[in-house]
Amino acid sequence: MKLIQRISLIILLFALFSCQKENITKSGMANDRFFLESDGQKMPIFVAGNLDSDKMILIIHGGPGGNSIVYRDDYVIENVEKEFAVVYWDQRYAGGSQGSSSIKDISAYRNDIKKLIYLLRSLYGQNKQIYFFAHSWGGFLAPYFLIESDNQEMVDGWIQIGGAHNFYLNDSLTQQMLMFYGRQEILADRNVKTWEKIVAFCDTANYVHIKNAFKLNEYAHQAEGLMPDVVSPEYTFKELFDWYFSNDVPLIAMYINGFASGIFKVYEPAYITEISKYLNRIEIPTILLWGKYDFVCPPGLMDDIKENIGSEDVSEYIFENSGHSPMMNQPQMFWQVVIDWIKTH
Amino acid sequence: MKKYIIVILLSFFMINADASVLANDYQPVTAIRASYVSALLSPGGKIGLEYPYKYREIEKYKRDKTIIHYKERYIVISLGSYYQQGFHTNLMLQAEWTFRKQRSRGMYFDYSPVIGLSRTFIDGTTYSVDDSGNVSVVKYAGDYYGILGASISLGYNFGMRSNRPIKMFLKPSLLVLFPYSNMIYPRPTIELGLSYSFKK
Repeated sequence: MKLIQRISLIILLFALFSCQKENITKSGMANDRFFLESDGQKMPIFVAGNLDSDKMILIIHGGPGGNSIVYRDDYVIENVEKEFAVVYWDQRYAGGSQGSSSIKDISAYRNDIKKLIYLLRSLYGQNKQIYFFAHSWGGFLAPYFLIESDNQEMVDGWIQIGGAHNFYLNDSLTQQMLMFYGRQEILADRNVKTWEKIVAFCDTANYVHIKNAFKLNEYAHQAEGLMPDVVSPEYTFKELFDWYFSNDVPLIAMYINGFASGIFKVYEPAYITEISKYLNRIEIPTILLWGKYDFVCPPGLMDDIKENIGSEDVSEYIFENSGHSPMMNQPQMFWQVVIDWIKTH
Repeated sequence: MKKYIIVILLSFFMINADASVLANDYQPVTAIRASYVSALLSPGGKIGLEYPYKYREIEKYKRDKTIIHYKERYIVISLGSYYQQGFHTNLMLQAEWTFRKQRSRGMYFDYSPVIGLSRTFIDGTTYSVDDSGNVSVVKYAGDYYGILGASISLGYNFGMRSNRPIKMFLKPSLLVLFPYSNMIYPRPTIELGLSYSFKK
């Protein structure tokens, strides 16, 4: 029995030591990992970079069901984190988030963001300026948060990159863009069979119906790869391997969360959540960054924000050789624009 | 942790037990087991008790030889844990219903359905924030999950041909934790372990 007791003790100690309190960096370069528990989900947060700048870039990643660490490549580590602290937060049911809770209402995401900002200021100081870096699905969550009551007072700037703030408009713009470029590419005799299939779908499908959204989204991603002007990101196996091990990526969780977000249609309430007409409430400095060939969230969405937003400080930038993720298509140019904008705001 | 597990495993080889399990009067007996567990790249350990509740000797005649093997049924109760950096430590209490075919020369094969209960401990300080923005640390943050799974194992029973009541096994399993974000969380594991019988 002694042997069993000793082994049990070792396992128990092992479990307890694994949840000991970690230190939070107060100045200099942060490299802090911790979790936020909210509504039954434990969401991982990784803060990396220069805290002395007093500026934090909060990544609100794409998906739903994506992850934040995918934005952390060598360029970001060497150039962006050197300037500012970057907050990599995996949303609920996304990335390395875990928990036995069931899928909650979309408002849970808004509460999570609010709690996260409270937490960041509590840990790092009330003087920290926080900038939303909202991409794709994150580009829905950011304005969804900002238009509610006085939430925007918690945020110092909004960087919107290929964001999906209006799902119906998004789908109609994607459909139009696929048809426009599809016909152009067929005339140019490039990838004709694939384009014909895409154009045929867009020509006949009742694209504004939610049931077509998945297919439309799939074609939009496919179309981006067909455009000759888009610079495709290339990663070697070694780079992916290093990225995996240096960031403690929980791969199974990532895939399960992504799958769960898809089959439980976490995005569905976004179709009935009106954002465009409340954009006039947003008065914080904003920059809109879009890839010219973003079929997933077309540049027309940028125009909708410009027309409706209440802020008088709105900048925009189109990346000529990018699709849905200009931070990956043209990283150097993209991040320079972001760094310069944050420095001046 | 790895060091402790290796020491525990090696210690089994050093034990010269009085009890013996001989092939000519073989019958399965209760044993304790310990194993090193790897959940993909996450290391862990497991201890347990295997209790035989039924066995049958089978004789087959093949090429003028009599081949004997044993069909055995066990209930196995175990407590295991693995640690995944940046994610969680998972404590798992499992019950297995094992169907084993033991050959007289020592090799055995078994398969087991598994049920259990899991408690995870988040690998990192976990904070909660109330509606007013008050931050607090959550002690022992983690979740309870049910476990369902299946495993097979290939092993060698040293007691069939010597007086060492030791078995060695390699055991891949597929466990699923549930509910995990309304879904299941699959957890493939592989164990390398030893079991030891205290009595005949």
